[in-house]
Amino acid sequence: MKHEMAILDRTGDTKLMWDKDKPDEIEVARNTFDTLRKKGYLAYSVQGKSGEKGEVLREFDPKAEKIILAPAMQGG
Amino acid sequence: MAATIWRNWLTSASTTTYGVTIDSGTNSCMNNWVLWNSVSTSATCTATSHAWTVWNTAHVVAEETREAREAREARNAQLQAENAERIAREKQERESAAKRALILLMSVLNRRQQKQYQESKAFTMLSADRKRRYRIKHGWAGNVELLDTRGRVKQKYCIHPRETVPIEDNLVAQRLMLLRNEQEFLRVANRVYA
Repeated sequence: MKHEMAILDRTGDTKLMWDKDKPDEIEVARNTFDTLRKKGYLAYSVQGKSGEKGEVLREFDPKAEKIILAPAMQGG
Repeated sequence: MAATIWRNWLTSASTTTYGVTIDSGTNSCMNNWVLWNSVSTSATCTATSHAWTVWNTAHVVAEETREAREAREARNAQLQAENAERIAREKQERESAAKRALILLMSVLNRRQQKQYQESKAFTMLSADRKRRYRIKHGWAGNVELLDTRGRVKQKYCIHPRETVPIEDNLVAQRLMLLRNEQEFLRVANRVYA
């Protein structure tokens, strides 16, 4: 089963998939996650169909079914 | 007399043979023209090239040839076509991004919220502890509202991503931050007078 990371960007979002049983895919996803986190991106795991369940992720979780990475927020 | 001087002026000769000389002083054709038009007959001119050629080099813009004009017009037409193509491409990219962002937004809303958004471009949600109700409207800034029990706006908040993303992505980011880290949301957001 493929897990998914959606990175919010100008195109809408860029998706990165990984198989939790494939270390090389996990490594790519983890590196991307870490790189974006260092840039200030906020990471959320999303469970279920409405996004109400989930948590803030400070470290990459290869078991998370869906992760959304959003750019850092600022007051407008 | 003037015709004689004019003939002399157009030759390469450095001295006149017609009994009239024009002195430029600084050997400048500009000065020559001034002197030429004066009543003085005692000046001399020692221009080494056709005075008219020199005169026009300094003072006259060459007329554009037909070929040059056609080339210029063709270049302009090409630039306009490239510009129109770029504008159309960017519009398509924006529309495509908006569609993707809408799909992502719908994936983080429940059915009631999806229906709300489709009808009114806004949805309401409860805080994680279910004590406060917010409304998030389609928009980039000042679009998050804290509602009272009667649905009236108590406070507006202005907060958005630092990077440019489609509007619906902004709503995703706002919703998830409110759900997962309301304290941080309220710390970062600017309060707008409701």
